[in-house]
Amino acid sequence: MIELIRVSHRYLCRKVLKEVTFAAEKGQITCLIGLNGAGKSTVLKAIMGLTPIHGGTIQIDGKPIGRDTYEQVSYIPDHLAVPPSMKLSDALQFMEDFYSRWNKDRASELMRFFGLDYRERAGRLSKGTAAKFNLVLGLAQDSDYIIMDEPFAGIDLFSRESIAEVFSSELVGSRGVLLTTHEVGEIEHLIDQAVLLRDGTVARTFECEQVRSEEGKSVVDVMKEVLLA
Amino acid sequence: MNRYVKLVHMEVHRFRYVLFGMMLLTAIWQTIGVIYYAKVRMDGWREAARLGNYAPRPFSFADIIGDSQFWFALPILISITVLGLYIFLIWYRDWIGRDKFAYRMFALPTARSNIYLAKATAILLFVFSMVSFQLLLLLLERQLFNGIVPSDYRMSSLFSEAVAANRVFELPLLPLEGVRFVVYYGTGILAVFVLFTAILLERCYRWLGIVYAILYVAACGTAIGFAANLNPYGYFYPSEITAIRLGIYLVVMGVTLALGFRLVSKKITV
Amino acid sequence: MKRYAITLALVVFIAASLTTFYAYGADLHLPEYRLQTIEGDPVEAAALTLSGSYVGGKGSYSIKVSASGSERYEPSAWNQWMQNEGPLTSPMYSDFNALYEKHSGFMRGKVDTYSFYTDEDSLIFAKAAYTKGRDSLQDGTIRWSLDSLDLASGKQTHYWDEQQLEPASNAYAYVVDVQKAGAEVHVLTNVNRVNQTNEIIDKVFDTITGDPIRSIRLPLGEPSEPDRELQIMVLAEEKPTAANSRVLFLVREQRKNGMGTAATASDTAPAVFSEKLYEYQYASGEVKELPLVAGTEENNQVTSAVLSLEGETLIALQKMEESVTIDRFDLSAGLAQPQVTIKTSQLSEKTISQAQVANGRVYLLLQADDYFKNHSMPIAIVADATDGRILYKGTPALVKANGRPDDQLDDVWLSNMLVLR
Repeated sequence: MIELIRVSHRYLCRKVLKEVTFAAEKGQITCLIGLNGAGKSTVLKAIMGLTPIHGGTIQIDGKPIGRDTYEQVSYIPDHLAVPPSMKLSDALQFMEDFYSRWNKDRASELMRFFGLDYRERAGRLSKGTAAKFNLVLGLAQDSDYIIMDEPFAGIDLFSRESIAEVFSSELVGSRGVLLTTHEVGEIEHLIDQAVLLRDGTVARTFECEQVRSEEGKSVVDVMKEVLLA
Repeated sequence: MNRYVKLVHMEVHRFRYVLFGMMLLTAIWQTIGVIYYAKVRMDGWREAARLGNYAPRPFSFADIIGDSQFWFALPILISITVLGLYIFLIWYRDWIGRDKFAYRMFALPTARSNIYLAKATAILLFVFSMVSFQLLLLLLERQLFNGIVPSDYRMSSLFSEAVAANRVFELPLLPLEGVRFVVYYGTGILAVFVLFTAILLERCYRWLGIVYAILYVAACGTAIGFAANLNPYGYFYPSEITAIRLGIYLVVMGVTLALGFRLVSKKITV
Repeated sequence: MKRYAITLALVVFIAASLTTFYAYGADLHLPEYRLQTIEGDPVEAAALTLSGSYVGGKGSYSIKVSASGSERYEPSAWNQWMQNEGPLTSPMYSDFNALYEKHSGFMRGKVDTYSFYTDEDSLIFAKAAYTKGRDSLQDGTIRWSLDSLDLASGKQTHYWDEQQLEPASNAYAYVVDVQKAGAEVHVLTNVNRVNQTNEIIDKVFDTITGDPIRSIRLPLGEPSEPDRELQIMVLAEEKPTAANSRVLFLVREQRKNGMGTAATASDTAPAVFSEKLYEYQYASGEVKELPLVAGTEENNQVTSAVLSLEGETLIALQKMEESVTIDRFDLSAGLAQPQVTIKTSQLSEKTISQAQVANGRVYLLLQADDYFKNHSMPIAIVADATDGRILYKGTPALVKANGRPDDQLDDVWLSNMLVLR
């Protein structure tokens, strides 16, 4: 379980996160939903220790974040984050070098699935291809959790479909997924839990299935209700 | 192989073309210099022989190095500039461009201090590679000199004399005394770490960080300046001065590393 | 492993080239010399060091040669920085090293050569400093401060006193000799002023209480004309820390700088009208004029001899090209000793380039006639100052060529002599 307890973050004098509290369970897909600037990416960066927090605690399976976190949680940022001159094969080698939980077979499988060319250089990939390769780098780790920042942003329809396909496959399987998006519509059916962020605070947390069956509302309905209220 | 070594290799790999480019530039530039200045001396000899008035003194490889002061030093100065800029770029390049590598680098499953140390190690490797390359190059250039200058005009010289003949080697880069080498490059290594920590201050606190960074560099500079200027005719005895200098060096180094490690592991924002 | 080839290669390359360079390549292979005895007692050469330069190939290197061998030295500021040369490594006086080692606590920060006094009971250090008044019309102040160490008990005492001085736009005070006479410490202080006669003050303290007792401005004469000034030179005991009951002054009356008629532009040295020698007894406070011992040539009233005070003997050394004369004057008895002359003809056909008197000896450096020839070595002579007897004769010799290329220019010039007192 990735657990955030009253996490605060500020940039200069502006409070970006205000006592954010929620948990993402293993085996579930949790979606952080919010408008641009709500603090979604900051939450993910805070979990990965890529930005300092100024209050609260973050725990992964009950332990504070540290060096082991990075084997336990794979992070897929909103861009490829590979030096542009690097060949894809070198990038895979790089991951293999550093991650003890790197799964080479799964990497090849994913490369095949997305139809990626090993000889291509990272800097020359189109936005959609880069997003796919980004997924390869994240999913080929045998991690317990996957954190994804806007996996669908600016990606064409067909690419989206193949990415969405991955979520329901065993590539994700029993792992916990925490992802952010500002357009929840297309992946609504995939999500187990939604966390609505507004101006750095958690406006509402709910089980999608429950809301659907008990209140008869879609996630988008709730989102509109809460965020536009 | 441990991850620190892998990180070092990664940094070396990323810079390899620039490094080899600087080596190539130095080699070509200095080779031209040796040929040109040897030719000037040979022309002088031939002219003297033609006029028949006197026979000039034979000249050595060290003389040629001495003749070509600035020409010989220029590629070295260029390399120093490049490496000096790369101290900054080795960090900032991970933040610029579409694909900010910093996101992946800082999420690697290794102690963040390894990233800091690996980048520093890479810079030092580049510096010492260039220095070592220069030594090798001098040997080759001496062969070249012996090849193009007729033995009648030639005088032998020691390798150390050739090194001492150029002020850029003699003063800071390749002092003949090992102790000086240790002192100069020891200070240089400290300077790299201080700059790294200053860069991290900027990366962590942005605009305010620039102010912190300037203050930090000034404080370290003052401490080292104080250590260097301790007067042996003042209050302290020479052995005490050596101990104080070493102490100040270690304190500045320790504080710089501790602060750098802390910033890179706790305060950094990608 | 293959993937790490570049990095590995760089590391190996760096290690190999830097170690090779500093193990073999950086050596200048300077030849080694040693001062070797031609005749006499080698012990006499112990205080003697010759310095000069070795010229080889492209470079010129300062070297020092003594009986124990030769070394390269660089009198640069950098080298001083690197080697931390400080008061401990004085090439002039032997007594300081032992003092710094034995009384390191007391000696800390004390470096002025002539400020020390030591005997079997105590070690004293005195300092004088002039501070200007707030504006130039106000009187300045000299402040003396003394530190004294009782050698038996190890007890340290500090005492001081201040004294007003007539207004001076710029003055500078420093200690020229420290002596003990009975229960008194005498701090002989020189006060320099721009364009004026320097004055000598004997500041006396009580050794036991540390109280200032008196302060005397030594009467060493006055200029006889307003456009003249006196130039007072102090001749204190040759060994700065040693005891001596007296001090001598050589007083020259000369034209004030810039006030002469300046016959020619090249005539920059001020004209000297007279020269007098005075003796000052610390215990009695008596100042008396001594006869100028030697070297006062007929038409010139300036002595060209080098004077020095060793214990109770005033020594005047006069160096000519082919001979030196030593006049000794016993101050307690008031007796001139017979003049000693050493001629090059008794040695060999050489020119005397340097001469010094120290430690009761005369040290001579003789250059050969073929001075400009390569590797022409000087000859060092040590003679007894009392009778001119030659005690030692030696010359620097090459002991190890050290493998410099033999087609190179190489030469050695040892033209300077350092005598440790």
